Amino acid sequence: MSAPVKPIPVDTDLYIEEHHADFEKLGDRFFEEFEYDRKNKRVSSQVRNLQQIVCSATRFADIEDFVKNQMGKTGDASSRWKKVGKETLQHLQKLRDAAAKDFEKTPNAREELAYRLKLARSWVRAVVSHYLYRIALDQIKEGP
Amino acid sequence: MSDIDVKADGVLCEKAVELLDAFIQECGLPVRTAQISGLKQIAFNQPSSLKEFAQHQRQRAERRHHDEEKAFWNLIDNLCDGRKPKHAWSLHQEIEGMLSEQEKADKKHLAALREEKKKLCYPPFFQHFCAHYLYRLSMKENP
Repeated sequence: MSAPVKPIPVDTDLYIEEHHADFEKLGDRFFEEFEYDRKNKRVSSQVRNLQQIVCSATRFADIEDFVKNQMGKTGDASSRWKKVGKETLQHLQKLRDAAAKDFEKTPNAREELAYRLKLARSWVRAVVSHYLYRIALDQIKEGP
Repeated sequence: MSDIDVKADGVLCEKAVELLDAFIQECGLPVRTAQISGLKQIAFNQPSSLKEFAQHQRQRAERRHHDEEKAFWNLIDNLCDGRKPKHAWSLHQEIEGMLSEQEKADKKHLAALREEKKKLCYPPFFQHFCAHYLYRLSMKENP
């Protein structure tokens, strides 16, 4: 009997490429709701915080919890999160589902978590890149 | 990436959301944000006191005739300590599953081992639980 074949891990870049349009739409939503500090040319601290959490998380659920906690607070930042939070969580759930599907035949919880986190980091890079692009377009429109 | 990271991102996260959603379906969202903050603080700082805290809160709710709130604190109690067959899952059961047969046989150190596992499992579980509660509350207020 031959040894079981280890499946080729799916490249996260391929997944990101296939769903890039959706990530850009979320980047648009982030621009619409969080805007940026036009006067000082600073990006939204909420977007920066999300990026930071995603890049440093050792648990995917920490990212989900960040969004949920922000939605549950009171104040200006929370009211903005309430408008994009559900959509953001839907994105994160899709990343979870994609990782689960890829590990369905050869379950490995540790590798699956690592893969989920890698997907999340690629995802936030795509979303924030588009958010920054929208800022750049806005600044061009506003002029010097 | 540690074993607890994997557990926290797997069963602890899934159970926190699943069991809370089931509760909300039956009883709504009866406790306030401040109570959720208190619950999370105790779970992080004094997990061994959580059961007692829940029992105290339940008694208060009982005195005020707040049935749904009482049910919430019952849920917390059962999440901490529920036993089969009535409760299919609880943190107690999860922690018992983490102990080896050798560790269970070591009566001298068993209590300390259980405490150690509680300190690992309670914070991530209640982090997910409390975040999900606040999320559900925010969705109720902003459908």
